[in-house]
Amino acid sequence: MNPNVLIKLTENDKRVIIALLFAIILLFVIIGLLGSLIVRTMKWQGKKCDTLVSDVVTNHIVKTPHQLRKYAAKKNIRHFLKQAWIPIIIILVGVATICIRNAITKDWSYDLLNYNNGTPNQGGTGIGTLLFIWDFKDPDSYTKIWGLTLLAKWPPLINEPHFSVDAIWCYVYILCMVVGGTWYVIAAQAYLARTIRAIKLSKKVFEKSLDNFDQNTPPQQPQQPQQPNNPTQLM
Amino acid sequence: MVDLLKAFGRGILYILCFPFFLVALALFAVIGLLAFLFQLIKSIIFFFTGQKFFPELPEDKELRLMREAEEAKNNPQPQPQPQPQVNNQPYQGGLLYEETYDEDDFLEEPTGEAPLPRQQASIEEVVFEEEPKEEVSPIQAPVEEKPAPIMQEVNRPEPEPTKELLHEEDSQDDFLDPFDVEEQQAEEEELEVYQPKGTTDDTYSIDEDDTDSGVNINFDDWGKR
Repeated sequence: MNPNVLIKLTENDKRVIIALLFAIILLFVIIGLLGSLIVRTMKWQGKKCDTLVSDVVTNHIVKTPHQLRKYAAKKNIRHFLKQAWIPIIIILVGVATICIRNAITKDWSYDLLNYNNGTPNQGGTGIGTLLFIWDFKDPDSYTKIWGLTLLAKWPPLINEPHFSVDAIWCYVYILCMVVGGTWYVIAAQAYLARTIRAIKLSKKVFEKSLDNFDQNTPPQQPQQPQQPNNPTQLM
Repeated sequence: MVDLLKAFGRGILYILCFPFFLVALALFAVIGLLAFLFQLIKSIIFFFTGQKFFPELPEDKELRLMREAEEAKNNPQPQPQPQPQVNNQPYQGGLLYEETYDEDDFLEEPTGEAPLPRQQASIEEVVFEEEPKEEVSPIQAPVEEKPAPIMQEVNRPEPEPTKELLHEEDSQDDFLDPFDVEEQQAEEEELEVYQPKGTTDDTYSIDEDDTDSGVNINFDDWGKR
């Protein structure tokens, strides 16, 4: 083996590599748990599809997988619309708030991320007034290592959260957008889950299995209704 | 440890599938938004045409008809049967009574014989608020003469007891304290018969001869009082 390729690791380097490995494993485990949570949630949301289509299926009104998928798609979109009209209205209220603000002030170049009025930690018209903001453009915070520009220190803090009356329009807008958007995404996820469930059902419900079928066993005779002993009962 | 490794493997899988999931989610969100706008336009049209926002699907309609047929089959509605008319009065318009007898329609007879149905009010009584016609029931049940009920007089002052009765009570209740007897006498004296006292209006003189022509009120004594 070429000795130039070999990397000599010190004891400290080994410790760092092991720590990084554990951190990556932990990260993947957390992502796996979160993914499992999302999958379980979607399975639970998809159960609603059973409720929507069960009556039609159990009464043998739909008879093919294609009919079931078509019917389930219609029911799913209707259920989605029933779930989504409230978040859509909330989002529209947020958008209308910003539009009204811009129409009143006649300022259509509105910066939603504005965080002060020139003086640090004072005034401001955007959501930035409620956030911690660091100055990542500060050149003193960076250094060059082997030709790469890397962050050498934590950049200076240029804004601390503070309340500004001028930014109240933006607060309403952001609140509506966050609430309505999250609600709408959950509704869309449920819609996706129901669609997946409908596709699975269309394959499963009409599935015919011959696992327990034996050709040699004689078919069972259907039971005949018992004849009444008293012939007068027929009258 | 195995679960941890499984979660680790799922984590890798989910990281690989996450972009596809996001794309699918965004696609469904956009489809839902377009469907919402489309449904909004349809709803406006349905509103002006008087239809439902979500018209009944053909499968749902078929299911509804099937259920209605089953219900009609399981619960057949009874055919109305002609009932014998008890009231012999000819129909004179207005509401007809349903000839049913409840327990309240029977009189309670102390003789133990079969109770008689209470005479129902006729249509004219109810509709036109006329006085009920007296009709003789075809069967007269023997009615015993009941003793007159003892009516409890309320607020009627009791007659003043005589002194003899008080003495008898005193003689019977010798063990009573004499102070109690005195208190009882005082209470009995307080229970006087109510007699309306004369009011100031009684002072006005009314000529008895002119009573036929109304009340004559004189104000002769007006300045004297």
